[in-house]
Amino acid sequence: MATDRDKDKSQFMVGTCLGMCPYAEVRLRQRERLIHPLEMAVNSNGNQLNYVQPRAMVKEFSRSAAGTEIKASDIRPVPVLVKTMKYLLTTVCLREDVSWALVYQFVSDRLRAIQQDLCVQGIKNTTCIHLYQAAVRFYAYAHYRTCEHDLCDFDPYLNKKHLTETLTLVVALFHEQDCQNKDTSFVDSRLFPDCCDEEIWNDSNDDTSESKIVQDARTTEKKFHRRTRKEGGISLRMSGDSCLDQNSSTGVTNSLRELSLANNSGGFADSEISSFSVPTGRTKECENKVISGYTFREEAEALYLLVNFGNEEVLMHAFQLQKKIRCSRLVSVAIKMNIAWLSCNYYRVLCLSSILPPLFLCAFHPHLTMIQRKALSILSIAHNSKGLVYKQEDLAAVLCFPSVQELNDACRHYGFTVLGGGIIFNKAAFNWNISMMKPLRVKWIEDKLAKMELSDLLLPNDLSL
Amino acid sequence: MAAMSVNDYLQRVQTAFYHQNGDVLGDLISFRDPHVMSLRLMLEKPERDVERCIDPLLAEVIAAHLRAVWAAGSGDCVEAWKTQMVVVQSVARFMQELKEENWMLPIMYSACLDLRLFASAADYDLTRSGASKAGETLEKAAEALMSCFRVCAADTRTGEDCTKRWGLLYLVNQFFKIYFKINKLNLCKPMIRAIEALAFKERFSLSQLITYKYYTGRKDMFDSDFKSADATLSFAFQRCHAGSRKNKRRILIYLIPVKMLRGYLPKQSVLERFNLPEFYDVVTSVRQGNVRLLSETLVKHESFFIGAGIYLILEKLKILAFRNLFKKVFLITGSHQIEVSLFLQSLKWMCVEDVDHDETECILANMINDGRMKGYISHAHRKVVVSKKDPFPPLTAC
Repeated sequence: MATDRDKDKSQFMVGTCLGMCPYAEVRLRQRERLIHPLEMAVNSNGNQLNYVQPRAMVKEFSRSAAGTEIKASDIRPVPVLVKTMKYLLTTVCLREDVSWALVYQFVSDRLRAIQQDLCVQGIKNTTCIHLYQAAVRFYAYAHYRTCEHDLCDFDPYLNKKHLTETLTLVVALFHEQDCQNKDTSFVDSRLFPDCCDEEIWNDSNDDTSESKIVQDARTTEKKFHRRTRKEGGISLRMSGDSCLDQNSSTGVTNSLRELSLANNSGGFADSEISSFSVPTGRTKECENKVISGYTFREEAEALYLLVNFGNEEVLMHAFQLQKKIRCSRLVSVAIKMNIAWLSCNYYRVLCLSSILPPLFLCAFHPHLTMIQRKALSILSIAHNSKGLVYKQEDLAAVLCFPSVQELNDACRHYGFTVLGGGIIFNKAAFNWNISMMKPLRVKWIEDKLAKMELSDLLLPNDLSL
Repeated sequence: MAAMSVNDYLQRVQTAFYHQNGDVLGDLISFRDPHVMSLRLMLEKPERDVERCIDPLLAEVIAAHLRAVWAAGSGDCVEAWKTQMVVVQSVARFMQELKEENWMLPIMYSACLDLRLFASAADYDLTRSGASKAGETLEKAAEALMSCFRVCAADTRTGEDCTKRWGLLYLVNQFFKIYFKINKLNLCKPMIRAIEALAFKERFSLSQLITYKYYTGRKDMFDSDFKSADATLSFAFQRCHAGSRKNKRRILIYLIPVKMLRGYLPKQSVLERFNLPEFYDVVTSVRQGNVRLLSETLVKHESFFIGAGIYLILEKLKILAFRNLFKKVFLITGSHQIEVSLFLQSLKWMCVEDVDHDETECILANMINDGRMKGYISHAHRKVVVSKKDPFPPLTAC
């Protein structure tokens, strides 16, 4: 890696900004009052004040324009970017005193600035890929979590665009690595803790201020924790929480811990091992085991397949991967899902999706409505008979609707008659012209997410050390 | 010829240019002509000699070519590719100068073909040494070809007999070869549009047309437009000269899956004649409805099918295998009301991975939806009621 850097020095600049936000920008935004609520100082009463809290400032994304010279003092080197990423994905994402929409808007903008800094410095090492991957994780998760929001809070098109762009980049970078070191490409990311960056980051003096922010956030988080639970938002336990909230979460933690002990099958990138039962009680052996333990490469390729679900070019790309990656459990499931969709086998697609880890479900979730609609249209032709009804409970289970209610809504939306005893399919009734249902958060994904800590979900392990 | 002197060579070029003989000139800057073996023509700096005898219009092209001969002679593909880029660019300028004439198209053909071949070799070398990404060199070559393409495409005012647009198809075929190699099929679209807009698109030479149809047929196939893929690939296969068996075989690799999807199975003798043993079991399994054999065959010849880019299409053939399997179930039961569990049994027998009732219904539903089976499913009774008349319509009708 050192040689890489030396080589790049000639072409690319190296950033010298040691804070999350360049000093010039802090001053500018203070002067122009362009301070995001999440960067504002808080007084002793917990009210936000309209001046900056310097350690909470994060560099804003700004489009690179012709004529503006990029200064090294505005660019953050990799260790600082790692720190910034960590701050955004743990501290900021866990804040529950502000609305998620605001958090989303803040983080997605700052992530783009991070990516811009990486790009300007022409860094292509493993840490850099992991930073991009962290961004991918956030986009995928946010796409799910924010899907019910209005367009003013969240633009699914833009988010999807950022997601696919970053993901494509990650896949391309991995591919480039493959090409460059054909011999060492088998040394996988799990053997790359990237020690040198870690050292720099541990030595840095900002460490204390960083942890202080985390503490701040934790106190606020604790304060608002109960409230949000009641509201029914996604409740995600923080590491310090189990002692605070004994009644509700210790049980789960314990059972989780037991499971992970019993099932110690080498978790590298992320290991969330949990038993999972489909709410509707489908009993297939494969469904009981959620995939766990996968490398960064596998994660990227699987996400690429799921985000671009149904895209044959992407599927062809997957076939050209090394056998070891292609046949890994995670990637092979993603490939199988895509292949099943070639023949519109919606049942198999949805079945397989149930063994995906939460992050991947989030990536797959946007396609769910499309699959359900297609399935209903197929069913409407295959079950076209006046005297017959399809029992709602059965169909809801097959199509992964969280409850009969949602299924009924969808059926009515697409033009079918819903009776007490079931749905009457009529091939003439299906309305292709009507717009697709707005995606909804689904209980079975929600359950899985609730079993996991958000910081674990979002932050790749080696960045979170 | 192999020891041709510079003066001799330049003399020939000048004469051919004087007579506007494109074919001879084309040979004279082609790397498939023996003159490139002449040590005396390998000149690093040929400009002075060339300018002395050659018309200034053409001088740039010839000088660039001689330099390329020198580079290729030294055995360095990367250098050869770079110099050939200059040749193509100067050919583009040369064509631009000669308005309302198209006799020089053969020159462009030779230059462009050589550029693609050199770029291919250079791409391989550069990728292996890690100096550039795979396909990058070819993409740069495509940019140079684009300069010729623009000159040809822009020549719209000239009459049909001497317009440079006659050169478009040859260029487009070169683009196809590059884009298929670097897997950027989306870039083919504007090329196809340019050709389809030509009034004389059917009157190109047959060899060029066949190449064109071969690639557009493949593209249609990837776009899942099987009807059009069938038509274009069939055209290519039927017109392709019986002597070029290698090309016929290449066409068949794509034509067979497309035809099969449309319900036509190839004869064993055809597969034998064109040496395509990989397809034997594919055909047998689809005919018998033997899903297990099809899955096994796909695994067995995986690398061949993936390499040819037809794996996904063959995966789609499973639907046909299911159809034939289910038809057998129907024929065995002899009833018009068949329990879903019977179909399930047949799927289990075919070792379909953890299949159950619901999935069987899903497969049946798809089959009815696609019109490959007539009838309806009763979920409550777990039965399929098939139509009295023509329950499994012939596949060629779908």
